[in-house]
Amino acid sequence: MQGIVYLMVIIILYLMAKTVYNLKLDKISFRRFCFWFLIWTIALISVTTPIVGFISDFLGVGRAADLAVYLSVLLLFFFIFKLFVSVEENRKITTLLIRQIALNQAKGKKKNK
Amino acid sequence: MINSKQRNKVFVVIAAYNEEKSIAKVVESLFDKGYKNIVVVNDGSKDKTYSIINKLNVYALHHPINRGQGAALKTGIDFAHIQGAEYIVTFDADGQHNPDDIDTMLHTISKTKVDICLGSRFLRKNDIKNVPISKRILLKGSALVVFFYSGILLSDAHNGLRLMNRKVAQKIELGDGFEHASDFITEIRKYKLKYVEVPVTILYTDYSMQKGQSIFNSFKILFRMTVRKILDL
Repeated sequence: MQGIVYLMVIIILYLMAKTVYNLKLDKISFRRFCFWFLIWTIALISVTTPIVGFISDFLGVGRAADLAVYLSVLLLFFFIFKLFVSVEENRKITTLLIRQIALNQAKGKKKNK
Repeated sequence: MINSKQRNKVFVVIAAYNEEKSIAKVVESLFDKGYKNIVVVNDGSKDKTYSIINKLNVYALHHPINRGQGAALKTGIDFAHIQGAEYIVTFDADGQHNPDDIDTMLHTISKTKVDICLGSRFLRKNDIKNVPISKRILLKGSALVVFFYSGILLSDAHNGLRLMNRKVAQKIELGDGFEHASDFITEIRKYKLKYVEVPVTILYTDYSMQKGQSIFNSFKILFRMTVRKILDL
């Protein structure tokens, strides 16, 4: 195996471990865990078995440099995923906070009575 | 017929964002009809909406930052629930709803014992005629999308006029933005709530049309709903 393949395997294993860790911390739901674990498993199989060779031959993409592109795409996916979850969580927290402030300040606030 | 005692059990919740031109008229029309418990949630408006509602005889709530119609309605619904409302109505701030329809809904919910009445502009021929063609296509498409996500096929899945009982008010969770309309339906499914569609009249004015959803916004809502569904957010 080439060095880049080892590197990819390490990164994918790290991402798999991170996904399991996030599930354990209840940061992601089981459904989302399954989705991402499946993605990483497919990535691992693709990198460690000749299947990617067959596919790349079939698609006509045979250059080793393309692996770097695949790796980048994987990383980008991961970062987008992390970012999206983070934005959503922050949005929910902000809304909750704003709503709580509104409710607290509104108590007994009926005007002109 | 609905009497004032029954109307006093109802809290009308209005989410208002930049509605300085219409909010006072809308509130007055509800007072004229005999609804005294009105909750207006100013959703971070940039105009004079908040100062206007502060002068009205309503419960004035204020989101310091705009969080979307769904979030504002949920704030109002929670507030009405805390105040002991028996029934809660969601009512649009742009003047496109008719307060008379609340009486119809109140009568329906008392008679049928459902948990929530959903307004529909597609149940009476005269009401359908009022709906512009582009809106009809958009709304029917939305109803199909909501059916795909919730399994409930409604004639009008994005009607802002609804009347619910306390049980619904306590249980439902809504998304922040305009996707809350679909959230009502998915929550009905989730909690197996009893519902009925009630014919309502939508008054289309230049103002309400301007404030309404564009096709682009509808696609944004659809995208957001899909992402939330896939990622379980």
